[in-house]
Amino acid sequence: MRINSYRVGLKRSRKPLAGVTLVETMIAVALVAVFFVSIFEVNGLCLRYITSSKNNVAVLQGVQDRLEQLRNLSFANLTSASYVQSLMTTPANGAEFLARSPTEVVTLSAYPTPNASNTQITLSAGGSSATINSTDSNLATAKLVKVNVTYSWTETLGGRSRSEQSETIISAGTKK
Amino acid sequence: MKQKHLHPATGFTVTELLVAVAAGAVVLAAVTVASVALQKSFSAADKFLGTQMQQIRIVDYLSRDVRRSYIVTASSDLKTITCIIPNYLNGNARSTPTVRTTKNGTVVSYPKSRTVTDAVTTNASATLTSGTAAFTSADIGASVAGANIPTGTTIQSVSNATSATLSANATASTSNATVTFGATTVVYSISGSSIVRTENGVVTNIASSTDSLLPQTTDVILSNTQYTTTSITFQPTFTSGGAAAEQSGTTVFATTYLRNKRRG
Repeated sequence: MRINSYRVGLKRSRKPLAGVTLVETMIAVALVAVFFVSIFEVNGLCLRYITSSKNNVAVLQGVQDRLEQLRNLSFANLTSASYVQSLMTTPANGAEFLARSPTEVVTLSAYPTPNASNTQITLSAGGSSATINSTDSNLATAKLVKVNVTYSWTETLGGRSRSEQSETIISAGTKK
Repeated sequence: MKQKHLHPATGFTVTELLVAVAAGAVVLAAVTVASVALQKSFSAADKFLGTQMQQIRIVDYLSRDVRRSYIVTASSDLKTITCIIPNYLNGNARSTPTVRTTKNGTVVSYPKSRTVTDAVTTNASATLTSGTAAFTSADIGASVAGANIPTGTTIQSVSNATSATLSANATASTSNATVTFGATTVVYSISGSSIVRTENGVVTNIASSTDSLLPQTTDVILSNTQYTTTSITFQPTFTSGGAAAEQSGTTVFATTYLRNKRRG
């Protein structure tokens, strides 16, 4: 605040400026506004993190559940691309995010010596039917199969592309 | 020139003061309300992520026990899960299982527990007979798990080496049934505001549901395998979209197959 700042000679000078000028007020208000906007922005960020975290947890469980399903298939079904293709049309679990957003890719390859191309099946985001991209001809005679399940999606937080994947090796055995 | 022009009034009038105080009060009120709202929001965000960790912990616990179970049953309200697990440990030492081939397939028995394949039960009767069970008085109190025997059943008394009385009646008549005696029993249940795991009567609190955690598990039995599906929801502090909408958005799903069931 400026006080006693009058100047002799001007008409206004007779009247002291005891208050605050509009510019000063505007600057003060702007500073307070910036402070609050930044705090609310941080809060908004927290809420977006929660959404992002929910999606992450859903996908993490989805990957585990899909692997769990594949582990429990009979070996003949596991090595059949068309069987896995039809299995993938049903989401791994009931999470709403899984049915809506991520692209799911299941890759099967004979282990330890795969064919040049893996068996790869893709279910695009929100899609109802999976596509067989390629097949590994060594799968039919393999005793071990390497299975990779990958979910990829675009995060609402900053539009970043994210992915979650897990890989395991499943052996042929006598299963009911 | 008047005196007041030479000595300018540097104070405030009452009106100015009142207006200034009123404006200040409004600003302070806004700041207070905003602070409280922000505190609540940050606290709710913190709780949400904390509860989400608890959801994952419940899924982890349950999956571990379901995987190694012989038998898993869920109560009709889906909130209590009973797992019958072999005794992999004998005290602190690793148990050595005995493997036997029977006409019904391979049977693995762990110390302190054994599996027979010739059990005979009668509908609505508590008597169980088995030619190979070799019951002794040491078996009293041991858990009994098998088809048509209610979950949580134990041996109440032993009549002789081939006949025992159970704590509950069989639900159907069977012969040559596979029944396991003395295995570890793990029960998951909701106690007050907590999710508890009870292993052979010892209670462990695995998650506290400050936000009303609600796990629900269904056991699914197929012809060749068995698995459980679990969904865990909770009531978050946020209620912007309505309590029901907020709750449905928190569900975490999990599927677990019984590894021990997949024999043959």
